[in-house]
Amino acid sequence: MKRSIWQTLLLWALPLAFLLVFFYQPLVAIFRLVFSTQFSQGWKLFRWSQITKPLGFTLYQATLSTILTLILGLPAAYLFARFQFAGRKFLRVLITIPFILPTVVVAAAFNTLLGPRGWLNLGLMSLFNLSSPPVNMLNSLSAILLAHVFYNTSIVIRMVGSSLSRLNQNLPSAAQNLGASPWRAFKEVTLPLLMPSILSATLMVFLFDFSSFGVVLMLGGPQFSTLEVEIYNQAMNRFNLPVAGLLSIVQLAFTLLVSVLINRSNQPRYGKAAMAFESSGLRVAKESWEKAFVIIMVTVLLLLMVTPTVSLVTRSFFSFEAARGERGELNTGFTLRYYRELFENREKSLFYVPPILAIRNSMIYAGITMLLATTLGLISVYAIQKSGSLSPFLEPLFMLPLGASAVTLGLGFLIVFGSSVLTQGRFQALIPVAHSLVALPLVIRTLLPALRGIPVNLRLVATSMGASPSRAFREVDLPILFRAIVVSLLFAFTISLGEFGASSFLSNTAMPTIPVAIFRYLSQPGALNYGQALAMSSLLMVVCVAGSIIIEQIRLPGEEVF
Amino acid sequence: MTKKLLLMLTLSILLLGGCTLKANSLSQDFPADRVLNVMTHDSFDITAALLEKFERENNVRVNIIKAGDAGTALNRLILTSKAGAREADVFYGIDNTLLSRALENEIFESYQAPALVAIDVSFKLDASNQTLPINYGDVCINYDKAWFTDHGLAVPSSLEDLTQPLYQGLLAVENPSTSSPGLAFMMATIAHFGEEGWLDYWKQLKDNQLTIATDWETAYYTNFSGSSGKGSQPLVVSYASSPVAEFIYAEVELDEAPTASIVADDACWRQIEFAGIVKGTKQRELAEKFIDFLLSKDFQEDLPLQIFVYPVLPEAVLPKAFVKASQIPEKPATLDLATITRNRELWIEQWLEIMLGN
Amino acid sequence: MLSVRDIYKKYEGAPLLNGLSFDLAQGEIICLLGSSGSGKSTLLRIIAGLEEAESGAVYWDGVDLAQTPAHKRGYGLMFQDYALFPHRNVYDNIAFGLRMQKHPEADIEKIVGERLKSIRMENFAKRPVTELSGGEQQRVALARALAPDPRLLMLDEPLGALDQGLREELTQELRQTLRDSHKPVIYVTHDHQEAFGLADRLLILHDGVIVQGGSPQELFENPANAWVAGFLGLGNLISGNDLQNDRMLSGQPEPSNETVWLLRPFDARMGDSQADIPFNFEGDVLDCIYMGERYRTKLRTPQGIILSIETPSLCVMGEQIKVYWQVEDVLCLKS
Repeated sequence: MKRSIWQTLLLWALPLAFLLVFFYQPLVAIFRLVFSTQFSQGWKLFRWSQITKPLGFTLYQATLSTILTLILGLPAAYLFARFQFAGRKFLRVLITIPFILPTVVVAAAFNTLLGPRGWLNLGLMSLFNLSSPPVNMLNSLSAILLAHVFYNTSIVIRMVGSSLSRLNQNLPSAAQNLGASPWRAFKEVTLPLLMPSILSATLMVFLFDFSSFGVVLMLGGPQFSTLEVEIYNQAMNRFNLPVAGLLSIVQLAFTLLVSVLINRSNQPRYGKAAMAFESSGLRVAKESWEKAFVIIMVTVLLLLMVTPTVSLVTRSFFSFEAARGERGELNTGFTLRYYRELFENREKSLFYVPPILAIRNSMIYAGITMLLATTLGLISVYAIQKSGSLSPFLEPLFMLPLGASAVTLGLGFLIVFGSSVLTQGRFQALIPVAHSLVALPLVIRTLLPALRGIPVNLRLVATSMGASPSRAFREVDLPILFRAIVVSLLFAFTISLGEFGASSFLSNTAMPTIPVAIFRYLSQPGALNYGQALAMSSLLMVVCVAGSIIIEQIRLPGEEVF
Repeated sequence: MTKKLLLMLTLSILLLGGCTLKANSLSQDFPADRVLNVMTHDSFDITAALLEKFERENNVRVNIIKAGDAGTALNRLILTSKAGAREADVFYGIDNTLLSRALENEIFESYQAPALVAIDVSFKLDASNQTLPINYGDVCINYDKAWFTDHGLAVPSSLEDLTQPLYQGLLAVENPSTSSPGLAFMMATIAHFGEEGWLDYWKQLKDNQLTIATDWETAYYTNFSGSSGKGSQPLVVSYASSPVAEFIYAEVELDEAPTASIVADDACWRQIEFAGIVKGTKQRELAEKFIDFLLSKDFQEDLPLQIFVYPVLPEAVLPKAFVKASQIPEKPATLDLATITRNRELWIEQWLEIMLGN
Repeated sequence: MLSVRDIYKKYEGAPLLNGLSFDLAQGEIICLLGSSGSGKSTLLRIIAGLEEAESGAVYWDGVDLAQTPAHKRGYGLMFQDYALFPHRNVYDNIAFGLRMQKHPEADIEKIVGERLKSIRMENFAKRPVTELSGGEQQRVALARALAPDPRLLMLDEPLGALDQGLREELTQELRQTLRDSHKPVIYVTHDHQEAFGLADRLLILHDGVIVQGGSPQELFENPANAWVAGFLGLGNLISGNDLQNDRMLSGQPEPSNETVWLLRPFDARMGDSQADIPFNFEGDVLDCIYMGERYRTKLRTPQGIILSIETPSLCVMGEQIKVYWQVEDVLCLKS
């Protein structure tokens, strides 16, 4: 008995130590920063509007984005849960792509569609023979909202759609049979039963919109800053660390609040009572309103959810203007140049290294992240499982990093670990650590149901047949957990590849990650920098899409992740 | 079967990351024992051969780290230095508007470079020599010549003109809290209109529908009609030397620069850029050599066509194109360093409050 | 009252209901019997207006209901899974139909109170339905279907989800409730015991049509064909070819593959028939179960035919016995 307590403690020690050092310590450092005297000059000019304005805007845009996302997502969820139409499966795959894209890629994609050098403006300019781009969509609230809708609609479609298709169809039928009109039956029965999933989808979308960084930073312009962007601004541009710290605390408090609400709304309320044994069948649209609905929804989804990515990839293969300093060599049309340039080290380039090195850096960080996060995740889920009745109290400890923003994390790291022996001033060593913190909650969510699914008897049988504990792990646990582990590895890998917030603080300027490089390229002048940003974005998108397709293939039984 | 396939796939992704892309060594063809990290802003450039010569002579690999806009780069240096990290041995690119932030935070070691003797006293703002002047340039409003000709409009000749309805919606400026030319232009308006009047001036500019961009790149390449970005504003806050770049880099050969600067008295702000040896460097001797290199005639003469700024060294000869297309304001606006130091953050706050409602 | 005419409905390409028709009289309880997957539930949904038939019509008092949507038909349907609203408590579930009819809240309270009392669940009003046992859910579902006073009540396997003991107990209760309601009832089940116990009339659904309808006695005595006899478990069905000798019986069709003989277990007589008839069998006892008063015995003849018979005394396993059926006791059916 005693031995097992020690074992449990040992299991707990490593992940807890990791969290204490790399998560709670930076948080405390940010708290202390706010009250420290070292940077107290920041307070001299402090006005409450420095907090309330970004907070107000963050809440405002998040609310607006969430509403718009629901307006598109709910009918889309209905479309996919109820109707059969040509290309349904393909469209379903296409619309899940945005969610797994890194924010910088989303920003780049919108740039290629609506930006001054985007397809829309290029088209209008050649159509009406204009000399300057007529549409200025970037640096506007609508660009932010559009990108957020693009980004999060698939969450609504997934979460609400799956409850809708699993909803017991006899329930609304019973209501109709009892005298409720179809609309009334929807209002009185279907809607209330879908409410928990609508609510958690709403909160989830709100959380993502609330903590949006890359999209707002790159598409919003100077008028618009969310808390995340303002933390970055105050710290990196204004050098006002106390205010940045205070903003971080506000941000953390809000995200935690929303996370807690999400956890609550995730509790199954009606259990299986509302669920059918199998998902209800799809039908082909028959009546004219149904046909119109399907056609309109498919068109809108294609326009909103598919054109940005398509335009990103196509734009990366076309040049329309000469690179800076190349007189008379204006080749407009198809080109592979932007991809070729990634391998070259140009004299006037931004990084003084071939841009492809950013891909190497990101791959290395992502590789370390996936091993680190999955190893920690595995230990953590065993620790959670071993602790029995205590686990409801301990589990949230591991889930907390989900609530902390990446920018806050980056700021905290910068403050705490600069001088530490561990890093010897090399912040980039912390990137995989930060990425692991971001990935850990998801990894745990993936592994925990799989581990809980292993019958205890199986292990007992193995042990009773003479297998040592480690042998039992290899022979019993590992094969069963295998798929979950592969999914976790991929999750961690893609999260790390796309992470921008923390990386923007931590990556060595000479050794950027892919998203940081894309961000820097996009803000530089010249067709070449633009093209390289797009080429890199396209490559990153391909890797992320490949990763998520594999994850879909090995779909796990049990909980939906996210 | 699928399991094995997946495992192999995962492994191959890792391998791809770890192995196939070996780090290319930076431009050097010769082995160097030492590395000197030089942090600077994104606008920095240098002729490769020149840098290589320095590297060869000193048996060192110079690692140029571009860390964003001048202000961002400096903040990053302060932040990492305060935290005890040393990302750089030398920092190049602090301008006079932000100089006090660098000095207050004591992140540089002082160095009495021999070349300082020859440099005009007006550039030597830091008596402690923690930071040394390297170059200067003027932040002025640039205009698109063709645009004004096409529209039959007179080019504004003073800061006051910009508030006229005639020029409504034509000006793009940078946010002074995120951009150093933006901050410089704000300083010019303070110098010209005084601490009492400058905010009113900005209110009038706002009423006249000016456009605010986050950084110079956006303002110049997205908003400005005279750049390759072909934006919609014919007036932009940029450098007096920007027309030189337009002249040299034009897609077709030109007789004169397509853009020019408004160089009226007090309409421009003189930016002086400094370099310093980062406190606690383990390469003090090399760092000194690099500062000397920055003040050498070779580098000073390389500056104008690389970064489009003027050298501080009197003996440096300016290239022809530069002389032809660049204008030097006779009377740039000035404020003394103490005033800037005392009020900079307050001014930025006031500007943000008025212009962006922060 | 209710007339169902020529209903066609396809399911996944194959015809499920194939021109089905029947009538229902006032106050009549009919049981729709059919194996699972025969389309019984679909038929109820079509009558309720929840699903559309490909062709055919449903009439009420001679009026075609094609234009009457489900919520205006006034037919109560109790679903096989009860379909209780999980987000409402017992009271609100039962009150749902009344509220749709816009009864005043006071009336609703009174009616729901009565309903709760009739199912002996007065104290359950505020209970969430998710906390009820299977039997309690069944009773609430019935009360909910009856509360708005429907002009027709349809029950889809109302006892199907319950365990055996509870079923028997509830069958009694259900019969009482249905009789007391004086409403026409369509009761769907696959269990003929249950059907015999409840129905005025039985309708047997097979291959998408009503193959036979009639009182339990009629069906019992004269099953329309071999399938019905088999489905109702009426006895041994012996193909004409399997008989020991193929002598023709007067007034009966010639034994062939098309005909099947129904030999009821309780008509079996022990011993050797003296008459020259084909229904003499000899076989080994496979099994003998005490059924109270009599034994149910299974025999296997040398030809491999398995016969079920009732015997007055216990048979020993493996014992060889002879049985026969008198000609007037057997029934010749179409296969």
